[in-house]
Amino acid sequence: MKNKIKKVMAGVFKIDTKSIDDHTGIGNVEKWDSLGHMNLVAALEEEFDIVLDDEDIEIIVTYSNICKIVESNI
Amino acid sequence: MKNMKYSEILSKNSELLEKLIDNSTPYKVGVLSNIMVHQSKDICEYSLRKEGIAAEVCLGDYDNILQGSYDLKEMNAVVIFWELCNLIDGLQFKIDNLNVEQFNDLVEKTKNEISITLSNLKDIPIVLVNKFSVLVFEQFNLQTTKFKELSNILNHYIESTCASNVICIDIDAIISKVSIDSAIDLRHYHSSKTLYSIKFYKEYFESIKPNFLSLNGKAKKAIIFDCDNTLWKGILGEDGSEGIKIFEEVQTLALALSKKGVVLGLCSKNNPDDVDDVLNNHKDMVLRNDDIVIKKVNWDDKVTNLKNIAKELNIGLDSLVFIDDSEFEVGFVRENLPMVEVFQVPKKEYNYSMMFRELTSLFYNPIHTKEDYNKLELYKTQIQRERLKGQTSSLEGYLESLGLCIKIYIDDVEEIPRTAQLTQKTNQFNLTTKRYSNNDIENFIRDSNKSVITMRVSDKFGDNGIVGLAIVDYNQKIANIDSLLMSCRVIGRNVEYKFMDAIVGVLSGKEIEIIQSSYIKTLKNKQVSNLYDKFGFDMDFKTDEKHLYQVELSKYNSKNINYIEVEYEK
Repeated sequence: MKNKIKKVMAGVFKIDTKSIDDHTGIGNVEKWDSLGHMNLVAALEEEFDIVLDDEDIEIIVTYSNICKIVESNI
Repeated sequence: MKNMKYSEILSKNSELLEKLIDNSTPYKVGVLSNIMVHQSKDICEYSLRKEGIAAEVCLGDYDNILQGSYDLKEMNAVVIFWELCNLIDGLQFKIDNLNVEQFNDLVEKTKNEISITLSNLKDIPIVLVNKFSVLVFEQFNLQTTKFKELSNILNHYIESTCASNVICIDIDAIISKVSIDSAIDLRHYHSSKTLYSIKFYKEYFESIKPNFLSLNGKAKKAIIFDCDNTLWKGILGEDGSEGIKIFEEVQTLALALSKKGVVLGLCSKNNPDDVDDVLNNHKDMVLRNDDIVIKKVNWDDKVTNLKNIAKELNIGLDSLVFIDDSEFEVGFVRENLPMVEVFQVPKKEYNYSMMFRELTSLFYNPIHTKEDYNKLELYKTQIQRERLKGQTSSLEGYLESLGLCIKIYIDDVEEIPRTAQLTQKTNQFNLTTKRYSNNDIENFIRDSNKSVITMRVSDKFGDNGIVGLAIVDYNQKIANIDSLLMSCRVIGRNVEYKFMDAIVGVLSGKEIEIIQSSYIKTLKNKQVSNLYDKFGFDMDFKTDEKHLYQVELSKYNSKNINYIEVEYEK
């Protein structure tokens, strides 16, 4: 699952999967702006066949949070 | 693309850009909208880039359709998402409380915006406008609602007033295909005015893609069938003519395609006499011998046969669609000829007709000309000519035996659609490969500093129609040949020399002293890279990508070909 999340983030933000770690987040990824965030939500929901609610969407602003939220939704 | 995940599309799209950026000119698509459609960018680009079109999508600002239309004049295509619900914020629930005057004001204001926008975009080769839709907010009502009434009025207005470069997209049909619930994601509508889901965008851009393919010369031209379990159920060699069951629906759909100019052919491992017997005598067959332009019924491998089919029809392998039921043959052709679009007959017979209906969009051609309807005859005579070529020993002798005649037309308004189509479809014998729309050609014809010279070619086997085009710009005593092209149907008959003589003839009547011309390299036009050298023009400048030529009109030497007759119209 973690690899899949990295793949999704790499695709959405056009970054290398290897550069992603627990600290990767909205503050240090160039293309992670509000539009990028919507793309991330769409891509994660499609990838894992889940629907994220508003609170989830607000929280998933770092790689580590994404892992937690996706896991709790699967 | 429909089976690909969004994140996969995003990464593949960036990879494709790197591959395409070096050897193709960008195909710019502007997207205007009154909602947020940012997710359309990569999906649209990817749908076209994977077909070899170096698409670059330029998104207009949110809710700035009219303003944006002033800035998009350089685009090759424009797509407009104009949503009823955001004509006024919350219109879908506010509309019932509008009084008659307010309703009419809204209608007039929107009509006016549509009219200005489309007029600003009148020189764009193609503008795709989604029809106004109520489907998202109103799926069923016993009475016509105000919302529906508004959408009817505006759709009628667009359809009845738009110019020929505008195509109205039936967005309801696309929403229905993915289902309303899957097409719409209202979660972010109120906060950020996004409306459509990723799934919708994938379906949408796949659905409208044929418009772009056809304008980029990438529409398919021929469909080649295997026979057993493809045109009929059963194996002819084993079940016999009585034991096979004809696929009536697929054959009827194929016949309709051929009437629109798509070439039908066979590529089958069978005894040719058995297949001919079915074509001529089987009582249920829809397709008959006359409908099949080319047949490779033999025991050779299908890759060799398909290559020969493309060669004999004088079209690229990437213009072929091939259908076969055998997993082996499908795999073999895909492996060796990746440029051929291959379809396997579905295991479930009832899925076959639906698959065939969907693949017909590959042949989509927005403009139908007389030449399309006669194309079947043209291809047949092309094959007769190829055979005659085998019988006469010298090429000159053969050409003399054809009874060739060319007819030259200058600024012919009646043939505008065919002229534009030639610029869009011709790839091989095309010196500069500039694609023009009907509007462009019409403007050139009106422009006194340009001439649009077209050529009709006929011979004793038949009339090939309008198959040659030159567009010339004048700048005082200098003429520049902007475009010179010829349909591949008439290649190899030296008519290009006679056409050049005729062009020079036209120019000498205009007191031109110098003719300039150029060759711009593409992946497909290598065969004309030295055409102007053959015409005797002097090369001024040469790189791998481009050659520039010049000749003094008085020093132009005609090849004096005497077996081609020339007539002038007008």
